[in-house]
Amino acid sequence: MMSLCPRNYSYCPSVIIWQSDEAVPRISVTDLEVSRHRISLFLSTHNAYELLPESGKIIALDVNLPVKQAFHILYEQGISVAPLWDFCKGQFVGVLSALDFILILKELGSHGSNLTEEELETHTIAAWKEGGKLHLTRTMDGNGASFSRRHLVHAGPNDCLKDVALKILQNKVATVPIIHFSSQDGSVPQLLHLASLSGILKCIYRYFRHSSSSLPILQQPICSIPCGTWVPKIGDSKPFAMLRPNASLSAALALLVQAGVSSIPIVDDNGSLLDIYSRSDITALAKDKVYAQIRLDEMSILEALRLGQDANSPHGVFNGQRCQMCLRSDPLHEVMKRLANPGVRRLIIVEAGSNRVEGIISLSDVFKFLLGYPDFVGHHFT
Amino acid sequence: MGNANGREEEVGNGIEEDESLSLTETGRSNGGEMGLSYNHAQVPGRVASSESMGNIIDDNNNNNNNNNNTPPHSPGRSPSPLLFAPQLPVAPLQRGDGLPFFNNIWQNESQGVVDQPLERAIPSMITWNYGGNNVAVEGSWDNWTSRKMLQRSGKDHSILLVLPIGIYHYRFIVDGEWRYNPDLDFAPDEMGHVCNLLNVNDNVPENLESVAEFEAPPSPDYSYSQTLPTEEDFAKEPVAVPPQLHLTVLGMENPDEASSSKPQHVVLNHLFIEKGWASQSVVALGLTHRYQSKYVTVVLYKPLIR
Repeated sequence: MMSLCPRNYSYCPSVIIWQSDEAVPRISVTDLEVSRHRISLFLSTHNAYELLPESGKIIALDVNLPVKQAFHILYEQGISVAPLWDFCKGQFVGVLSALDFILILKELGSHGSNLTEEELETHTIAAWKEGGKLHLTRTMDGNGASFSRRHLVHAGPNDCLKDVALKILQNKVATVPIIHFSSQDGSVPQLLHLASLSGILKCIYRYFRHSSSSLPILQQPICSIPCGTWVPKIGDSKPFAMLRPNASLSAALALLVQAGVSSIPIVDDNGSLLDIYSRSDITALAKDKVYAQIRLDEMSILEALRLGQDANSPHGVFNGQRCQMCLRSDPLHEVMKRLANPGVRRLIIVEAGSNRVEGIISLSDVFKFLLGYPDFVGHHFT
Repeated sequence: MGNANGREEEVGNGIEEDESLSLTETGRSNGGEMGLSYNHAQVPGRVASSESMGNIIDDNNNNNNNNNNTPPHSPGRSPSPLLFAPQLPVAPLQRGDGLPFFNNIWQNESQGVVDQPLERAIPSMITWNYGGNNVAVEGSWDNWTSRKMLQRSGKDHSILLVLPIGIYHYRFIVDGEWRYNPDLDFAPDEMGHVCNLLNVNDNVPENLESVAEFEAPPSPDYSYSQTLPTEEDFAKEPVAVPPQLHLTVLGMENPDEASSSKPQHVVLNHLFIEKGWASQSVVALGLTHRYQSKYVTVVLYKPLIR
C-alpha cells in the first residue's frame, strides 16, 4: 500500500493508508467495491422503522429541568443521552449527553465556580444550551460545529438506513432521534426511537451473517483494512491518546474534549490495557453528588471509575466486560458482530498475551469504511 | 392454549390406560408443572387414583388460571384472563421424535442447525403446497450441506426448523428437482439461482388488520350534570386503578425484559405520572403508544413549578 500517514489524535479517525511491514493479506479492490455496493443497497432499501424494537422505551427531559437533576436522571436510568422537549415550542429541540456534563464540569472547574450553590441548583438545561457553551465553541477545532447547531438532528421512520447512518457520521453525534410527525402540518412530534450506528450495524449483521460470501471484505483481518485508529509503529511526535491510571480526571476530560474521541484507554507502564475511560462514564459522578465535592484535578480516573462500579462487580478495576478487546488478526465480521451488541461502541485492539494496546476500532470507523465515507457520500446534510 | 389441551388429553389417556400416570411416559420436560413432584407422590398411593386425577385436573386448571377452587390472587398480581402467549403456527404435537414444547415456546431446543447454542432459536415453519412425493429443503442455515425431508400430509409438505434470527436462503428439492415457492419471498442468491427467503424474527409483528379501530363511545348524557368535586370528594380515597394498568413497560426495571414483552393494548394511551422524588420538584410522565406494529414508551421528566 501507500506511504505512512502519521496519526494525530486531535483529528477524528478518517481513512488511513499505511505501509504494511508484515505479511498481511492484501484486499482486492473488487472485493471492496462489491461489498460496499451490497451494503449500500441494503441500507438504501431498508428504513429506520426496522431499528425500532417491538417494545421500546425512551427517556426524554424537559428543557427547563435544572441541569443537576437532569444528570441525576441520566445516571439513575443508566442512559447517556436524552432528547430534550420544549413545552412552549411543542418540539424536541436537542439532546443532553455526557459531553454536556463534561463541558459543564470543565467550565465550573476552570472558572472556580462562578455560579453560587443556589444558581447551580436552578441552572436549567435551556440556559446552558443557550449561553454557557458559546465561549467554548471558539476553542473547538472541527468539533465546534456540533455545538453551534440550533436545531435538532433527527430522522423519520421512513428514512432509509443509509441516510440515518450518514446523518450520524456527518453531524458527529452518537444518536439521532427518530421522530414521526403525526398530524397533517407536521406539528405534533411522536418520539419513536434513538437510532445509533449500533442498531444499524445489528441490522446489517443480521441480514448478511448467513450469506457471508456476498460480502467478501468481511473475511479480511482488520489489520489489512484501513479502518480504525492505530498506534503508530514508527516513532511519531503525536502519540495515540492513552492515559495512566493515576492521571487526573481533569486531564482525562480535557483530552476527551480536545481529541474529539469518545473514550481513552487506560494503560500501565508497559502499555498494557487496564481499563477504558469513556465520555459516558462521567455520569457516575452524579452518584452521591460527588461532582459537587471534588476538584477535578485531585481525583484520579481510577477513583472515578470505581465510583461507577457496583459493589458486586467481581472484576475490581479491570472489568473484561467494559473493555471489549480484539486482535489485529480478527476478521471484520467478528468485529462487526461484537460491535452490534448494544452498549459496545468500540473494541480495543490488543496484542495477544501482553494486552498491549495497538489501536481502537469503533462503530463510526466501521461505518466510514463500509460506506466509503467521506469520499463517496451521495448528499450532504446540515 | 393448545399445549394445555394436549396435556389434558394425555391425562385422559392416562385414566383409560390405568398405568402409573401417563404423564411420565411422554418424557417431556413439561415436568415443570405436570409434576415430577406429584408423580413421586402418586406412586405409593395408586389406590387414590381417581382422587389424584382430580387433583391433577385441578392443578392443570390452576396453571391455566381462574379456577374457582383456588384462592383468588390479589388483583395486583393476577394475570389477565385474556393474556395469551403469542401464537405461532406449530407442527402438530408428536410423540417420541417430536420437539418438546413448553408453555413458553422460546426455550432453546434445537434440531442441531444452531451453530451457537447460546443464541435464541426461533421455530419457523416451511411448507410446500404443490404436491410431489419426496420434498426436501436445503438452505443457507448450514451452508447448504444437509437436506431435510419435509413431512407429508396429503398434498402439503411441511417442516419445522428452529433457527437463530436472521435471513436465510433456501430451496426445495421436489422429486429430485430444485424448485422454489413463488408465493413466498424469493430472490436470487449469490450464485444466481432463485431461492426462497426466510426471515426469522424474534417477534411476531402485529397483524394490523386484525386490530379493529376503536371509537370511544360518547359520554352518557346524564354525566354532564355532574358537579365539580368538592373538598369532601378529594378527601376520599382515589378510585382503584384497574389491575391491567399495572402491567406496563414503565414498571419494569430490567430494560432487556421490557423490550421483549409486548405491552397489552389496554395500557396504551394512558398517561402515568410518578411523583415523589427527593426534591419533589420533578415528575415523570409516562405514556405507551403504538406506532404501526411496534410499541414505544416515552418517559418525560418535567419540572413541577410550585
